[in-house]
Amino acid sequence: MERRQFIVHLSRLVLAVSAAHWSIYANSSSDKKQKISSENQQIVAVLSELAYLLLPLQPADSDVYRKVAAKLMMQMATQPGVDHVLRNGIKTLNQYSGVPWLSMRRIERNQAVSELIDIPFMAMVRWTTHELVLRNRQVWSQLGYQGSAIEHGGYLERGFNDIGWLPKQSGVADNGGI
Amino acid sequence: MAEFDLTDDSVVVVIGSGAGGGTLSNELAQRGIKVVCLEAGKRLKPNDIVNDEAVMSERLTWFDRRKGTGIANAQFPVWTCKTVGGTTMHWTASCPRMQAHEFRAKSTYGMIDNTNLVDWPLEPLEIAPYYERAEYKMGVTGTHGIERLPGNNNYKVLEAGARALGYQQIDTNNVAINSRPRDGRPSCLQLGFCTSGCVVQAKWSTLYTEIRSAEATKYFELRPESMAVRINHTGQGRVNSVDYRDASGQIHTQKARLVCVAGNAVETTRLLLNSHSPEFPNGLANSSDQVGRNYMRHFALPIIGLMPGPVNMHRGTHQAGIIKDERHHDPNRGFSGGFLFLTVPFTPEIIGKIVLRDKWGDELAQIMSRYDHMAAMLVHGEDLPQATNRITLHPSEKDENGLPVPLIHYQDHPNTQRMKNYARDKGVAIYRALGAHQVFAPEDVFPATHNMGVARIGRNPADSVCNPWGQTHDVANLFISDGSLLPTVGCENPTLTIVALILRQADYIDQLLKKGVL
Repeated sequence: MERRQFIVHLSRLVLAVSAAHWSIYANSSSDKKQKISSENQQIVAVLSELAYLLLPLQPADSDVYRKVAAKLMMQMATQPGVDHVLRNGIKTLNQYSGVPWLSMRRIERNQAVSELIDIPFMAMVRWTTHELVLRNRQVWSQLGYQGSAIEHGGYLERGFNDIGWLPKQSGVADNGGI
Repeated sequence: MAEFDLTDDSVVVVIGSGAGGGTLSNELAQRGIKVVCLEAGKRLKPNDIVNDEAVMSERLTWFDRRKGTGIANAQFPVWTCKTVGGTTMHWTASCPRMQAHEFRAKSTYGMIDNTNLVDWPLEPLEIAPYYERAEYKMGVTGTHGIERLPGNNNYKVLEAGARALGYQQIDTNNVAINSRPRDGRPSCLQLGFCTSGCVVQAKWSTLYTEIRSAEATKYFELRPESMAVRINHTGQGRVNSVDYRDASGQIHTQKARLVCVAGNAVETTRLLLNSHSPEFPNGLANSSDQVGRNYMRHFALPIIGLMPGPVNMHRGTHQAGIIKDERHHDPNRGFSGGFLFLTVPFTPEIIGKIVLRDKWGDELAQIMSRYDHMAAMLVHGEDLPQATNRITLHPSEKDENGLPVPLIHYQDHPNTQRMKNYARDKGVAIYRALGAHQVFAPEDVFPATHNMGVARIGRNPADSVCNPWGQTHDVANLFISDGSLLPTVGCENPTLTIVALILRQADYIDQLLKKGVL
């Protein structure tokens, strides 16, 4: 299989490129800090909305999408190269139709994402979106994935073989026999 | 557990503690042969094993840098484990035997262009008793009177769809997972986390079985977080010690009477090639230039069906479901060799990130919202040996341990591509036969988990690395003890065959030691 294990590794590698701008910002003047703060709010807004459009399983204002943006912002600050990829990606998104991406209608925002889906920026945001949204317990509950089973004694007595809609046919058995 | 001195040159050093290394260590220790087992990974405690795939992936996975070319993933070409127990911590415990004709691949399939096809240097009858022993040791269901596991929902869908297509060889598979308490371990609870280490230890993993048994003797010492980096030799064609790196980065040298390498195909290759010297300029045991060549892996084709009713595929044992009707050889299908359909569940995260990675937005959300209606299987088929599918070392790049980065090159043979196409159509038809609304079957989305063939057994030192027992042709006291030995791989999950070969190897080593030959 396998499988999931290479996810974590791939995400690390996708993020490996260069530069850490955050320490530079930390030494800036207060005006500059304010400007950066406003800029960061814009980045968070774009990333949250983008995460929602990439996997709209929860309402757009759900915490889970803000957490995606927060995680990416943290990676911008701590992992080489992420800042460059994210800022360039957002710039590309905004340049796509000459107006800020967030100001466009949803159908137009989707169109822009569709055109740019293969750029590294999108891969990075999709990866983190899938990781946080599809590991979210509320989302699991919504999808019907039940997570850890050991505390409930597994599924041996809880529906591992409770399927009821299959057509009746000869030869179907619960057990393959020895 | 015993402790042996670094200068003790009477010990057998086994490198790796997975299906090959863990089993060999125990077999030798039970015979009173002193063993030091060097394992690169940490030893997990029972409380470290949890029902959480994301957490367990961090704890089990080998993350050191490797590079892929061809169709191998460039950044993560193979998936293996770095932990005591090796890949037996992650494996699904699926234990079909190889078929008789697969041991005679060259004779059965004939000449196929651009392959290094061979017949095995042993007859199926020679390995049969070792299959018996391996199955008994591992507690494989459906053998030795051991009851099979019951079928879960995902299995029932597979079976019903298969029967609708006319398939007949369908059952809950031979798995090394207890259907009843056995060997001091409990029976399966249908938890659905087989690949996360199995928290109840119903699944055979060497961490819970072979290592534990070996430690009960006076003849076994396990050294976790001990990464073998070089095998040294005397200059007279014998190996005599192993350099390994501990958790702090310090290098130690363990003297050895015999060295057995069981690092899984990539690490076994790297260790042999990295142990080059003036006497062995192309790497240890590589006078044939076959070390690292003939790298084989089973393709792993996931198929997901959105079924008309709930399935809840996550509930239950992963690969307790198999269809064997297509595993025979029939050139009329357009390819040589065969393939298997096996049940497998995927978590939402794996589906989003990997299996359906080409989908996004409303389309992906709509598919994911039908998660409870999904049934899933994995199809894998025989791969053919090709000299150009090869593991080598990067000439300049080093990994986190200062070792040359392994380069894994892999391309499908045209035979494999034809088999994949045929298998995909059949797999999709299984779910369609039951009214699946949508079926997805993406290709080459997973890194290779069955990694084999890079130090193959054979009778001719010019075209093989080891003799039929896994003893290298070039160095009498150096053995290969993992899936690298397989000269051809059939279509079956390889672990049972590896364990059978290692049980045979242990008998052989024991005999040679008793005779004083080694």
